Amino acid sequence: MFDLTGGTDGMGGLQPGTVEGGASAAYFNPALLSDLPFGVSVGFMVVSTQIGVTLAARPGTQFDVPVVPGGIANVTYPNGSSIGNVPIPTSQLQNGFAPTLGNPAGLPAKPRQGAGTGHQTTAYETVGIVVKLLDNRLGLGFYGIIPDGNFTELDAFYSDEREQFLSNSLHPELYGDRLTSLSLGFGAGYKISDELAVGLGASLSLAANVTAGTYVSNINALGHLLLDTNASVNVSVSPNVGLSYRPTPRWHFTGTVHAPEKIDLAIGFTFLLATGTQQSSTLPLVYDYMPWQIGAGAAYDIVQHKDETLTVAGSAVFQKWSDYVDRHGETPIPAYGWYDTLTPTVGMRYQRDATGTFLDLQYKPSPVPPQTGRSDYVDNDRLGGEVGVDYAFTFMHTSMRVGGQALVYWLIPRYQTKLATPNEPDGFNHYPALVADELPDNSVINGGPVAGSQGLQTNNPGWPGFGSAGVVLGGGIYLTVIP
Amino acid sequence: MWLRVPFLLAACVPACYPDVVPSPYDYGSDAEVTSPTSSSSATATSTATVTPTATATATATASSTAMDGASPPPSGPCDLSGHWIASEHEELDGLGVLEAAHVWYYFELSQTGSAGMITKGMECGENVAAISSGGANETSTKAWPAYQAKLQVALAGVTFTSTAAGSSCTVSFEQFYTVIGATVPYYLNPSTTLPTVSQQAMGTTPGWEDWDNDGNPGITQNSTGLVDGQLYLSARRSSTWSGTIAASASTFQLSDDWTDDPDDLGYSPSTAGLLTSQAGKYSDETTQFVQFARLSESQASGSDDTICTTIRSLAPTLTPSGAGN
Repeated sequence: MFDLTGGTDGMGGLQPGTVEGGASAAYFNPALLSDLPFGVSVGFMVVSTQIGVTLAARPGTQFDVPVVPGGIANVTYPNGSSIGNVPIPTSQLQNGFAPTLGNPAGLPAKPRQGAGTGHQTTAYETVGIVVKLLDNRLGLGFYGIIPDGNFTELDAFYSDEREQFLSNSLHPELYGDRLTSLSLGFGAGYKISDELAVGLGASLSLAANVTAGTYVSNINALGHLLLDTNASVNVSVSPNVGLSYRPTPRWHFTGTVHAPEKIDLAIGFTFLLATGTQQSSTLPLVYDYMPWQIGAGAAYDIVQHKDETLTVAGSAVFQKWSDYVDRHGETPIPAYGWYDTLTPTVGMRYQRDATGTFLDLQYKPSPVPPQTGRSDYVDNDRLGGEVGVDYAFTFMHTSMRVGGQALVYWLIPRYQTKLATPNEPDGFNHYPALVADELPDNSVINGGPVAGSQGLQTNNPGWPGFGSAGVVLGGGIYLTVIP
Repeated sequence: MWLRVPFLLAACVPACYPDVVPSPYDYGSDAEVTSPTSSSSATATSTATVTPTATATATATASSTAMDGASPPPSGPCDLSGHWIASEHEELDGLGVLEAAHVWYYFELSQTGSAGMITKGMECGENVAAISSGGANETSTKAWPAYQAKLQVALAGVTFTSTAAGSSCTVSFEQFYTVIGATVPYYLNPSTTLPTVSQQAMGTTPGWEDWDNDGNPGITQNSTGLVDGQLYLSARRSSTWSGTIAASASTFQLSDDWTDDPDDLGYSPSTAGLLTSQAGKYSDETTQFVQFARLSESQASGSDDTICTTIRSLAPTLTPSGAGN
C-alpha cells in the first residue's frame, strides 16, 4: 500500500523518502523525522483499481480436456500410475453439471475469468504521530493506513493451470489484496548535525500458523467432519534505514534501504480417518511480499525566499523483484524470472506563504516478464502522477495543516501470446516452463487410449494468451495538528 | 461533494477496462459418463466397466452368436447342466464410500437329479469400481491369467443342488473358497493363516506368489480416483450362492453370501495408506448377488485363454447387473 500511495500526509507525494511530508516518513525515510515538528495527523483516502483482463479466445475444442467415459479420475499412465492433478473436463468447468447419483453435490460452473478481482475500490483511514525529544534532535514517528471493512485481507490464487480448480480466473498479481492489508510503519530519526540525520524504522510483518486437525468418518459427507484449529500469530518487523544530508541550504540528498516484507501463513492439516490412518501436510502461503528496496533522491531549491520556495526533486528506487515469492510460497519459473526494477520519479514543490502545492510524475516498470509460458502473472508498466495541496493555519492558538492529494496511474496495456507446447508422445512434461499438457498423450483408461488426449489439452485460464490494462485512482485528505 | 469524486470516477472507469472473454465457439455440452461397453444411462448406480481385451477376434465370433443363448437342452426344468457365464457383484462400504467388486467366471456344470457339480471353472477376471464419489477404482489385469489358471483347482468339484419347487427351482451352491496371490490349494483351508510379506512361496514351500509378475508380492491392485496408488495383497474369499429361480431359466440371479479375508502385503506410495482401509460388506443384501447366463457350446470355446477372453467381453451384455453396468 505504501508503495502505491506514497506519503499521504503532507508534501511528500510520490517522493516521501526525499521530501519530508508528515509522519509517513517513519516508513519511507525515518531520517526525515528529525526535521518534522511534533504533531498528530489523521486522514481519509480512497483508492480504486480498475484493471481489466482480456483473454484470448480458445481456438478449438481439440484443446479442451474431454469428458472421459468412465471418469477422467480413472485415467492413468499405461503403467497404471496417476497422471497427477486430474484436470476438470473443460465443458464441465465452464458449464458445471447437475447433481448425479454418483456425485450428489454436482459441480457449480466456474466460467473462465468469471471471478476476476481487478476492480476494487477501498477506503482507508490514515493516522500518524511524530514526537520530538532530545532538544528536537530526535524524532519518533508512527504511521498507519487502515482499510475500511476487513482489517486485513489475504487472498491466495495460483498463477497457472492449477487455478482452474478454484476461481478459474486471472488476478492482478501486485494489486488486489495487497491494497487491503494492514500497513504500519514506525521509526526514529536523529539529527547528528545540522547537515546530517540518520534514521531507523520498521514496518510490521506477521507470521501466522494455523493447524487444523480433522477427523473424517465418511468421505462422502465431508460436511460432517470434526475439526479443531490452533492458530498463533507472531509479529515480526522488517527494518529500514534512512539518511538525510543537506550539504548546502539548497541541496538535499537522501538514501533509504528497506528489508523485504511479507506476511507468512503456514497452514497445517492433519487428517484422521475412521480406519486409523493419519496423514499430515503443511502448506505455506506468503502475502504482500515486498523485496529489498534501495532508494536515493535529491532535491534542490531553485527559489529560496522567505515567503516563497520552489523545489525540484528527483528520486529512484531499486527493487529486487527477482527474489519474488508468490502467494503460494513459490518463486516464478526460472525461465520467466522476474526482473529487478528501477522506478524514477521527478517532481516540483512550490510553497508560498502558508500554501504549498506539489506535482510528481513517476514511471514504474513491471517486474513481470512476458508471460508466454505456463505462468499467468498479471502486471503492467505503470505511468502516473500525483498532485497535492497543503495549507497551514492557526486555530484556537494551535498550528494545523490541512491538505489533499489526487493520484492517477495508467497501467500501460500489455498483451502476450503463449508459446506452443510441443507434442509429448511419451506423456512426460519435457517443457515445464511452457503451458502444461494436462491430459498426457499416452494416457489410458480401461486399458485403451483416451479419446481426445493427443496434443495439448489445458484449462490454463491464460491460454492461448491474455492482456491487461487499467487505471488506479486515488485521493485523500488529511489534517495535522501541531501543538 | 468533491469527496465523492474518486467514487464517481471509480464507478465510470470499469466501462473502459472490463474483463473480456471472447467465445468464438460453444464449449461442448456434458457427455454422459457411461461405460464404454454398455448403453445404460448415467443414472445407473455403478460406473463399473469391463475392460475389452486386445484379442478382439474371439469377441467378434462370440458377439455374432451372443444372443443365440441356446445351450444343449437340459433334461429337466431345473437341470443346470451346461456351460455358463457368471458375474459376481459385491458392494463394499468403506468410510461411507461405496464400491462394487466384480468377478467373472466360466463354469461347466454337470447335474444328475437334483445334485450337481462344477466340472470346470475358471475365474476370468475381476475389478473394483467406485459407485459413490470418492471411491477407488482398482484393477489388476496383469493377474488375470493367474486367476484363470490357478483357481481352476478351487472351483472344480464345488457342488450344488437344484430342486424343483412348483414352477421354480431352488438352487444352492455349497460354500467354496478361492485364494489369490498365494499358493493354491494350500491356503484354501480357512483355518490356515495367510502368508506375511516375509513368507514368499519357494519351491514346495507355500507362501505369497507374485501372480502379476511385477516384482511386488501377491496381487498389485492399481487404484485411481480419490486414492491413487498400488496395493499389494493376497486374499481368501468364500462365496455361498443360493436362491429361487424360474424353471428352465437361461439367465438367473442368486444371492451371494460372501466373506473376504484380505492379507495386505504392502502399498505404494507411502501416502497410499488409505488403500489398506478395511472396507466392509455393504449392509443392503440385495447388492450382493451373482448373475448367471447360459452359453451355447459355440459361444465360449477353444483354449482357456480364448474362453476367458470371450467371457470378459460377453459379461456386460449377458450379465449386465453382475458385471456392473
